[in-house]
Amino acid sequence: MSNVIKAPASAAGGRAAAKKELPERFKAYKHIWVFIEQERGQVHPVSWELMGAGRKLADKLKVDLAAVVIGPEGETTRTAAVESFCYGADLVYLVADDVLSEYRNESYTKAMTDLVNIYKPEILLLGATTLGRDLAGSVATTLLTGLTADCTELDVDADGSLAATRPTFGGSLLCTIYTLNYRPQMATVRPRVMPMPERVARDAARIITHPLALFEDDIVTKVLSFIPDRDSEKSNLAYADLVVAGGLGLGSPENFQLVRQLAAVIGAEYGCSRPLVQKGWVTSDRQIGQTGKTIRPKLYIAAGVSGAIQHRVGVEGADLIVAINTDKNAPIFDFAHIGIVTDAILLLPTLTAAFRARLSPHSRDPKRASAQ
Amino acid sequence: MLDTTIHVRRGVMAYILCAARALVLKWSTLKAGVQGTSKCGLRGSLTIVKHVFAPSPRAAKAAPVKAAEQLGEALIKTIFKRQPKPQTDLLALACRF
Repeated sequence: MSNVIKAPASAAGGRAAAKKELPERFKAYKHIWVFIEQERGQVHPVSWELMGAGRKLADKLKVDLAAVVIGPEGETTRTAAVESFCYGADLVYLVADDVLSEYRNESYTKAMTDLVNIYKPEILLLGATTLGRDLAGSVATTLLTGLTADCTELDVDADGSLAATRPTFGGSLLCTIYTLNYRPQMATVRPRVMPMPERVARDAARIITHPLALFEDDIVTKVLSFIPDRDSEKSNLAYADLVVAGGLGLGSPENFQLVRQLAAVIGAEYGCSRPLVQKGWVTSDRQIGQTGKTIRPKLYIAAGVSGAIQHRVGVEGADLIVAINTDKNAPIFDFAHIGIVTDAILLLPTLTAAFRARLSPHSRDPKRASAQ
Repeated sequence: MLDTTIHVRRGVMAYILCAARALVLKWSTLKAGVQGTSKCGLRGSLTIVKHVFAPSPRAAKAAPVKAAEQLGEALIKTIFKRQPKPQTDLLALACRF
């Protein structure tokens, strides 16, 4: 997408610039792997988003894209493996064992590192979820390789090195990071940073099964029970098509109600920038940005949000960004598609009323509505 | 703060450390292994920061919505002109109620 923050063209040439040969022991490392995260029978959507990103890298490098499915024996793990082909996998590495029924760092790290040491991928991508972050860190330290976390862009340069771009210095800048002398080159990407690829029905192709060389008695950690977070289902911010958010420009917690009202009228999820969470006006599960949720809606309305880079990296994937701010020099106008220089407190009620009128019964005829 | 004024005088870090008799170690980018000021990361790190950059503004600047009497309505029209999908979705949503 044209609106994604791109690294400058000079980003290319990681190894060429370093004028260093890849150590001989790493020359056998080929192909791109994506870890298919599944927990309690559900594949996390970030895995499919990464398959889309991995497919592009694999095509560029002219190598295979492999999905790595780790989980308990049974239908759900097998289904995740088969489904991977529908999202572009050329082959699947499958480790199925009942020891892997609940996520535990020791068992998953063992499964992944054994696979890497045997089959030698050059790039390994994981979702920057709670599980993915935990696993990526321990796999990278076990394999003694580099890991670039929370990437916003992935690319390969002319000599095949992974150029991973991510925010740095508290999110005020971006940097491109390479792992030139170690393999695999690992990176994590947060959910919704990459677009969801289209699912294309395909028959399962090559599935390579690998046994887990670990027994239950070898694992120190025991899962006694699973207690779901009662609030985890409340907010569907990351996957909402319409999002309305408020920032410090709203002035007071009472004014944030205006954001909630607009969101309720158009059936949107509501969110906020970090200062509002820090002030305790809104709960942290509604925070949008680098340290909150990354969103990719069809429409994003930001009211009183200045648009600092930390916020920008979380909303850059939105199809249409509408910014309302009193400061015409606010950074948000640098990346918004539509900008209104006005007080959001005054505009939000008007906008809510206009949407309400449009969605009222007499406006439901699409032809009539579009003619208005 | 000086007497009879509201002027706050802030100390310089070097003087504060000196007054606290703190041991001041001078460090340098060379000692820390920083390859260059445009890069970060330490010598021996598994990952190498090739360059740091600020995000560039969007090539096409934000389209301003002119203030009008019916600003809300004008904004909605501009939104749906640029992105028609939400309109279809919203009307479909409204029809369900």
